[in-house]
Amino acid sequence: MSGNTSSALKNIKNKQRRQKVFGEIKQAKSKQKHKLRAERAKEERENPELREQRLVENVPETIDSKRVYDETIAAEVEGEDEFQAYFADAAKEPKILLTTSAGAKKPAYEFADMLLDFLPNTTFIKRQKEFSMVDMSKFCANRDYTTLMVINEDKKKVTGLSMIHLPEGPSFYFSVTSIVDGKRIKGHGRATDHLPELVLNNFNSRFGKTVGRLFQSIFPRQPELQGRQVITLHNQRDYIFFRRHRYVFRNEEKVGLQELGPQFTLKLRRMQKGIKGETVWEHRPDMERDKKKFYL
Amino acid sequence: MKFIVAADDTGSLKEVICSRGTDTSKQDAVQPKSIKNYRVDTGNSFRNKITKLVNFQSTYLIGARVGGEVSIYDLVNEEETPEEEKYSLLHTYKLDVDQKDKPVSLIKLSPLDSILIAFESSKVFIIHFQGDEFDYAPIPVTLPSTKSINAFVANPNVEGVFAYGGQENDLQIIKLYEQPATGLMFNDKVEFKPKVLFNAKNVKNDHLDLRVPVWISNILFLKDAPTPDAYKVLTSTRYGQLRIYDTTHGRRPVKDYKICEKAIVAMTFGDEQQESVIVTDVHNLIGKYSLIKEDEKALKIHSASAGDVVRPVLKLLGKFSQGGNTGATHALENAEDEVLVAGGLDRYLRVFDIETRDILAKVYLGVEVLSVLVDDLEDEEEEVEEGAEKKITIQRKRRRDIEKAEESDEEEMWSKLDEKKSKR
Repeated sequence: MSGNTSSALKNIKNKQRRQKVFGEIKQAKSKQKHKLRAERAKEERENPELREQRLVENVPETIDSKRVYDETIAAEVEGEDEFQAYFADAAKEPKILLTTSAGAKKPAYEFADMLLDFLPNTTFIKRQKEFSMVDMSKFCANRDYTTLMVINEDKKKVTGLSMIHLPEGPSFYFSVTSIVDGKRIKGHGRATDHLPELVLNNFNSRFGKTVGRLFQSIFPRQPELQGRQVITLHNQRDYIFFRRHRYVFRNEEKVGLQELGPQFTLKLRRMQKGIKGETVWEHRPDMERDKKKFYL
Repeated sequence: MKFIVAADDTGSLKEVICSRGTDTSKQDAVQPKSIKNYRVDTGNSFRNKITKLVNFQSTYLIGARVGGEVSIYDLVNEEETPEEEKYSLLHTYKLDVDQKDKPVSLIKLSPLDSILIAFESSKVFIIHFQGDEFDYAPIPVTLPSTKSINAFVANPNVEGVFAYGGQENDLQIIKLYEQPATGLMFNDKVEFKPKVLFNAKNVKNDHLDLRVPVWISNILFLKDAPTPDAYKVLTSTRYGQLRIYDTTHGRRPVKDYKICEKAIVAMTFGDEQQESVIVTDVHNLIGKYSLIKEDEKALKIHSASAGDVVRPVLKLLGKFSQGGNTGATHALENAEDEVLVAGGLDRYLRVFDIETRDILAKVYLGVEVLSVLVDDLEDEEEEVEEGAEKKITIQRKRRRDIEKAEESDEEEMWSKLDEKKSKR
């Protein structure tokens, strides 16, 4: 068809006429497409099996589905890790200390406010310059905190988020982008104080599972289901998207979703063993050369 | 090739049998013949993981655990040994150290039929074996200082001479026992009294006249000692320096090079002549450095007060970068100056050709590697060839299938196109 279009246009020397003809062809094509769709929809309404068959057969290829083979996805997780002590103790609930980088400005506090909205059992403390991350980790571990979070702000922009599992690591550093306050989301709802449910998507590789465990460890294990609130951490191509919704079951098939916000995107930059110890993984720009290789 | 690995996550042993060309990251490459866990049971976890493994005269496999346990496993495995009885636990010694104390070194003292275990807290023990009885109690050795240590090595050229060092604990060379020593000395009550042979002095202050901190991470004895009772020692530090000490040339190092910014974790010689050294850092570096050649102007420091400082650095001969290592490498083993076995935090075991630095095998283990033991370097030739042939035939078959499939696809497409055309 495109060949037809170009041959039809080729001989028209007047640009305006050519544009007009092109517009007409385009419109005709789209009309045709819509007609086809309407017909198909009608057929499928009468015979729902056809729709199912089409959906099964017509699966689009995505970068995700073409992912480079990763043997760690299928492999079974062996042994224990530093999160084991936290998860083994059923009575233990997350206790988080939130602070900012030294000399942080307004955006960091605003972001902290956003985080405080959904992070349970969190204390915010103004950062004091004289204490390093390692010092703070030590103080927090002594006071039974399970996670230390530090917001990194640079030139009045929130750029990163460090998370250190206590008492003995590991330490993670994420870059933070695309922060959208809940109020800016069209049709947003208002969050309630209920403990949210947690959905972790696509943390598949061995390394991704460790990152997933980190997020598991900062939310309480028993959500308050009556709140119908759910926090989603969706990993796609090593970007982790944070979203919060309220759901409602409209009938047996349909579920309504209302976004509560905030939204932001995390990308893992570094993971270290212990409290800022040896590097386990660090993002390098050349890791993005192969577009189909993912680490989480 | 056969390797035994000490796993961090499970605190147990893992046996890997693979051949050259293995790569678990590629579906169509050769896959390892077997990866098996041993001794996962019996209360082993990552809390009491094995940090050092040693093959004791091909009869015992000895692992030193965090918290002071020393596990002796049976290494004599016949073909008929059932799987569950392989590497069976023969004995466990419980040494009197702190719960979190980490073994930094496990050395076999072959003429003494003993092993020496050194812990981070500077506690050192010697355990003597006689028969399969294990009834000799571990003998504690008191070092001249109680500062923490990160390296404790034996001089492979002179019996009874050891060197150690650690954080703010500069290199010391000591003599633990006199030379003609045998296991018979354990029949009487023995005591090891270290005699200090050499005590290093910190390097001079830097260009800003600030004290240079000391934190030794590895020590290697060089074989070309100037005189019989003098020693030449290579050390690496947690501040990225390599230093060469010569005991006939004063107490300070004769050479001091800063080769990287990050802390050096493991170090081993790169060849038999000891002309190169392979180091790993806390990041993902596995680099081979010459011990002879220098880059004259590699380190440049621009200082307002001291002017420009230009220092030589050991020449980087190359990095073992194939195979995409992402984490720190703890286990670094030079096997017969032929292959380099590396394993660390990214849960892969990689085998490199030491000369060309090409990767020979890459195996996903699923556990972090703390120590690795090379049991057998030979590929099982026949089976490999057979396997390879099979592989090739399978590949060919697959390729043929794919081609066929493609052809049929194409035909279909053309026929469809024809249909479309005829419709128009």
